[in-house]
Amino acid sequence: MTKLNELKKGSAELLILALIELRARHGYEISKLIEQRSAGELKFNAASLYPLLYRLEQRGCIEGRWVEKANQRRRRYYRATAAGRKILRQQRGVWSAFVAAVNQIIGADYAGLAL
Amino acid sequence: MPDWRSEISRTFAPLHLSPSREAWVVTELEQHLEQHYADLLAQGISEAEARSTALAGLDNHDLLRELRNLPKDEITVHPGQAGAGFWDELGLDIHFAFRMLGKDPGFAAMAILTLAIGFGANTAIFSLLNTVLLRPLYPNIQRLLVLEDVPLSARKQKLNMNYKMSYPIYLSWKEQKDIFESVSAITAQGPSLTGMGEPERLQAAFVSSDLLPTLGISPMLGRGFRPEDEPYSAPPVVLLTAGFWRSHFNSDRGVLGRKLTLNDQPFTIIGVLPESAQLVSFTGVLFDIVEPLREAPESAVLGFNHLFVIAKLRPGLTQANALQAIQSRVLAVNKNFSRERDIQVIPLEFYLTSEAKPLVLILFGAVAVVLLITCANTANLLLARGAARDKEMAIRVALGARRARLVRQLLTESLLISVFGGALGLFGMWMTQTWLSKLLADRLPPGIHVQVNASVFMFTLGLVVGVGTIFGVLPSLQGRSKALRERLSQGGKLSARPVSHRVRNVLVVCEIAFSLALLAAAGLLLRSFVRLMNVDKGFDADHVLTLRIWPSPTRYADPQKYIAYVNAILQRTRALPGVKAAGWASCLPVSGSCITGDFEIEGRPSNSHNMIMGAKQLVSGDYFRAMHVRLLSGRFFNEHDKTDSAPVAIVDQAFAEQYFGHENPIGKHIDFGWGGNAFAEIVGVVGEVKESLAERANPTVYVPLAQRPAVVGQLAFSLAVRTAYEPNEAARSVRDAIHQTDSTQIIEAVQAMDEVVDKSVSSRRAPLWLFGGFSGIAAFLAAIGIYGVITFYVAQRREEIGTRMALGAQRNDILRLIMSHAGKLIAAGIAGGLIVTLLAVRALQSLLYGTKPYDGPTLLVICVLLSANAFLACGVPVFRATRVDPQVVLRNE
Repeated sequence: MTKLNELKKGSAELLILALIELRARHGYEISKLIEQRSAGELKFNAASLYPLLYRLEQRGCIEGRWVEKANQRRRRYYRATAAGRKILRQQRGVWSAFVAAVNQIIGADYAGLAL
Repeated sequence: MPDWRSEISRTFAPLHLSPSREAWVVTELEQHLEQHYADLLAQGISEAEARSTALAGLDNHDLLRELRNLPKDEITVHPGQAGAGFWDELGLDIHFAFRMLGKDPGFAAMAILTLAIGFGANTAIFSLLNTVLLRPLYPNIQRLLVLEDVPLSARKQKLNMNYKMSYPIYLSWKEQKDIFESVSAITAQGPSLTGMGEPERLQAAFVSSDLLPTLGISPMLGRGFRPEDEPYSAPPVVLLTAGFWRSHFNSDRGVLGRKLTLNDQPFTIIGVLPESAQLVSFTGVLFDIVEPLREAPESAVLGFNHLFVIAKLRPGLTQANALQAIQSRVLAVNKNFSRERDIQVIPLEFYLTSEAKPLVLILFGAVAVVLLITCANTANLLLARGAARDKEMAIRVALGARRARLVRQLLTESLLISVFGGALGLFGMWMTQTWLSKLLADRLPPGIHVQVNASVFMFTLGLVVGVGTIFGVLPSLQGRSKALRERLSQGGKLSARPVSHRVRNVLVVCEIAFSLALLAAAGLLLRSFVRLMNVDKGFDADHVLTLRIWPSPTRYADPQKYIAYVNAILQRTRALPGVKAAGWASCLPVSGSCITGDFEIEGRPSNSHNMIMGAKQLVSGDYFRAMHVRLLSGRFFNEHDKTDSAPVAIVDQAFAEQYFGHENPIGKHIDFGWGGNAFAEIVGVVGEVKESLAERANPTVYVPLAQRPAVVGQLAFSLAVRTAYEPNEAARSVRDAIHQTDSTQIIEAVQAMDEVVDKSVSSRRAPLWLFGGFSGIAAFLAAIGIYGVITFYVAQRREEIGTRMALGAQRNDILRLIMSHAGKLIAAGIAGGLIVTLLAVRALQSLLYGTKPYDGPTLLVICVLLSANAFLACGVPVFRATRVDPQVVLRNE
């Protein structure tokens, strides 16, 4: 888990963008989803997640909005902008190429089997 | 639950973030920690541990560093779903607008209907304006001129007549190739079509071979005419119009080369014209077929002015230069024919649209006023609703809604109403366009219809967006957000904004004023129409049946045979039971189709500067008796006035006064022209018969049909039959009488003379109907407007009224209170309306007959009607006001 946490820094932005590519989510939802989908292998605490979000927003990759829903307090929702989706597409390609290359080397012919 | 907010604030204290930025970050993180904490508790972790775990998430230096560089952002609240983009928001707005309209269907229906009326009327009249005035009728129309061969006296006497040209004169103008690129001619006749079922009369145009190219018309099938089709000896050919091709040949493309039997002569079909082809028509009819101008030797003579001539200027020649050049040639042309005539040059566009133009512009003015009234009414509705929605707006502002956001919402609502109104209006117009075209047919160049096309659609769209936008922005401009907040702090009570109230009063006053102007216009038109119908026509249309025949020029080529034929018809008709008198005439009264020409009076040297002009009529039988034309002196024609007897003529009063003055015309001799070389003796003077109800009678000379054999074959004759019973009942037997003489004879335009009179004023009926309609709508809308304002006024004053009544005021006092308010508005509206009317009504002048634009009685009646209408509209709210129960009102206070 610790090793994986070291890996995550570079790919954190990719993870966030992937989660809010199709629908807007609030910060806690994003951190929770990362944790769930990685079966607890990846975790973001508030202090590491929000700076990432703010930085992505500043770069125009994502867009945050305060949204009010019935019977709820207003929350800030984030969604990927067009620029963000473009970066995501590029990084996805790079990432799968990288995974394939690593698998070639370490001998796992199917990523699913290795887990 | 731990106090996350203070924990977070403490962490951020050293950052000195701006309050709004801090509020944002703190809120966001607070929610995060709160939810994390709740999740941890749910997993069964103790409160203390959960709290420290959650707080541990804050422990990161990155957070503080990043926060220093936070992007600027204001806190804004978006209603609804997460992550709304522009289009999502628009969707939301529209959804919300639908809901708001659905909540108040009465308002929505009223607003949409009102706007639909305004938009529909404007679209219809714009489509006219578009076809009549904006869209060029023919390519290069600015280079096309109408050439008319006029007597020298015509210009001096300013006779407002249209003149045509004879074939030789047309040919000599055709030679002026340095001025004209082409000179083309068109004339019309009604040949009979046989061999295709029932014999029928067609409308045929005879055109020179260069006319169609000049007007930019080329056949969609086959070929056009060539110069070699024009000689009288050339094999006869014919072009079909698209309509005729469809109705008679079922759009068969194999029609080329087939024969059409016209006037018992076979014509080869050489082509079909496209649907869009619109031939200039000076007769106002749509043609079925087009033939080349094959002038028969007898009609290609000087003096038989039957050609409508269109010249196309050489490129680069201005109309002014051309005019000079044309004038300089008049002498040369005259010299060739040793005569003195003048040429009149009229730009074709002016010729075609000058009659329709003022009407269309006036109508456009009228619908613009209708639009103003519908807008005022809608504005009133929106303002009233705006007042009712103050509270909603105030709450939304208090919750942090930006002003722009509210404006956008209101804009969406008003645009939605506007779009619905526009769609409904367009639909209504589309449904009525045929009816409208028919109504206006007599006032428009032939072939031009009220029609929805792209530019009309764009015009409506522009109106819809413009009006929708103005109405969306206006109410929000007067509702300043600050003021709204204040209103909320007053308990959100519905209270009148003095500004809005004043605006609504002004709007109602304007509505009344404008509807007064429209009503006055309608009133004036109605009055002049009634005057016109009661004018002395010079004949009695009651119990007269009329019909027209045009005997086949082939079968009745011999004039004596022709004359015998029409006499035989007369004999049979007279013998019918119930027929009191019957006679032929070459043109019926009020049909406006009499041929005008010049005369010579014996003993007066023919002076080209003082030519004797008048309408020429060939009559036979008891025409005068059948029409009840008054005999002033002398005698009518009788059976002794035959072809070989001494030539005779009858003049009308106008002719006698103009050319004989105080002399007695009886016994004088006059040269009628048209083939008779001898002077005819004037044997009678008859009363004036109107050629058009609104115009003074043309000086007219009548001669017996039998004494002009040279021209009878060129003319169509109308039979007038005076009957003892309903004229239309006689139609059957008269028809049979004609068919007993010749079973192939085509009978057309069978109608009672009353109908002929009725049709002759149809061009005046159109503006009357339209203005009547527009003003009715306007008065109705004004009534709704004042109803709304007074209702609101009463609603606001309920407490005051209650208090007054509690203090002893009587119903009458309350009535006076409200009525005086309504009265002030109505009086202001009427006063304003009178000013508008007096300023605008002069434009109507050209549509009036025997009525001055400032017609006191009409205006008075209109003012009374409109006031009554407005006061009636106040009835319901006033009644409600007097029924206010003081106890109920005061208890509510």
